[in-house]
Amino acid sequence: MAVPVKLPYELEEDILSRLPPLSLARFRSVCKLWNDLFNENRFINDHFGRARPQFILLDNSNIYSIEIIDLDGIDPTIELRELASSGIPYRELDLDHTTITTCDGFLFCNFFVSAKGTALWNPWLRQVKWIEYEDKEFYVFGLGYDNTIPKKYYRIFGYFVRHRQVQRDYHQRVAIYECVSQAFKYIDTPDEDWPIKQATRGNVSLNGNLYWVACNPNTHEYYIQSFDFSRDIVKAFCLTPCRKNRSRDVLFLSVFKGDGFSLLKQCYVTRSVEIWVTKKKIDTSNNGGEDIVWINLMILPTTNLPSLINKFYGISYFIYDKTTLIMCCCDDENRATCIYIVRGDLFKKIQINSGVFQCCHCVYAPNLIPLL
Amino acid sequence: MSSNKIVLTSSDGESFEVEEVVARKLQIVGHMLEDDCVINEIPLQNVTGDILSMVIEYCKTHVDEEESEEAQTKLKTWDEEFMKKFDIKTLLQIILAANYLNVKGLLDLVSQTIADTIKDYTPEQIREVFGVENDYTEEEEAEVRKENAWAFDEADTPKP
Repeated sequence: MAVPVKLPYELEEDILSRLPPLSLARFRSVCKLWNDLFNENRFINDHFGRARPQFILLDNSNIYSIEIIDLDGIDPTIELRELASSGIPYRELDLDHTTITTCDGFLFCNFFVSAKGTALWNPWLRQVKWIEYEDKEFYVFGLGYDNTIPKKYYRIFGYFVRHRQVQRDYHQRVAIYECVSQAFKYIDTPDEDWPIKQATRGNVSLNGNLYWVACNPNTHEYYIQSFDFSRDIVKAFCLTPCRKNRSRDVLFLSVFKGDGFSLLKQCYVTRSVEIWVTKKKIDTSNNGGEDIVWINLMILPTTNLPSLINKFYGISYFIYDKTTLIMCCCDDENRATCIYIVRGDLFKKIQINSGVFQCCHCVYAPNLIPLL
Repeated sequence: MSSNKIVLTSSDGESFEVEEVVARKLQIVGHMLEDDCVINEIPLQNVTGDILSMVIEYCKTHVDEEESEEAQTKLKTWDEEFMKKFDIKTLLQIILAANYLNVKGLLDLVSQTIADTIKDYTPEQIREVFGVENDYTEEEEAEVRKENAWAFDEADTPKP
């Protein structure tokens, strides 16, 4: 077969939209047509829609991506890649004061206290945009935008801590930083004791809004709290199916299939894990989640998973194909960061051995979406 | 469903007798049967016998797609083993056939398999396999390569 098979263009495009961004960067030099294709919005969106989630890890000096290979096979494994050094949003890095989250395909690295800034970042395009505030005491939770208007104007949700002379205490004041106007807007929150701390790590971005698990201190009910960027209000979004918890049980929220939620609950005593997912996608109307239906997807009765309580860098996880839990967190014994893959009888723990012992991490779908 | 048999004939004259339910997995055949329900021999001009036999093998396996999780997992494993048999050139022949015969599931499967196969290829290998003409001038190509040099450099990639 000396003559190569020439595929119709739409098949070529379909195949290309399934490739990781690294391959696409290399294939830009195949021909002009392909290079142009990789810059087209339609292609970028198709590609993002198909992207397989991976983990992004930050340690003190490097950034890594972790791809899960052969997830459908009998022996899935990981591919660790150190991301090229230029374009990394680093200054001095104090991991204890760093968070990394995502919003529509962007990574959002926040370095509070030490570096005084926030970076929007697409590692696969090697683009970084720094956002710096004049007021240094702004603690950032996450990034979002008003989804009721077509253009996405990114806004940063966080709070100020002010020391009050008269009451002799610290006062939190919630605020929004508008990236376009570079100005702060204060948000009135109904309750002084509003448990804003619960949003610091483990908040999740969906449809431009932020969501996190909160606990009602009086009823001990767990619910999902949200910040609605179209109306600038904090509100209870919906109850979780996990009530009557022991106080030290832990719950982690994540995005499921790109448009729903998953909730992972670990029992503090038995370490058994339950995973719940929303039945339907979360709509973009920003209304409450009264009609959210949760389905119990998995129960992992006796797993070898570590205890997930008090993980300083949190846990990151995603569900693959309704059957597989893929999780990143640090191990109980030596505190090294590990990837856990659990599906039916399969349990795999892969320790990351490249000097990456403690790190911030998040789930991220690699993409070619250019920064604003 | 009747167990009516249908004969599919490839471009190089090879004939395959299959059950109607299997043949209907090829949407092109499904449409022909709807237009005229008395056909029992269908010539398929754009696909050779060796490729057609593989498409039929896929369709036979996927003929009754059960909902149960167990059945789904089994099919997935089968798909994976099935795809392992083919080299890139055969995969390209199969995707063309799946496209022409309109077998949605197979099209998806082969497209993903090709993507997984070529992800570490060099641009030169890609051009050869896909028959893509390099329309860059030497300078242009050097420039694009330079911009994306990081995607070529695999030396500093640590392994887990």
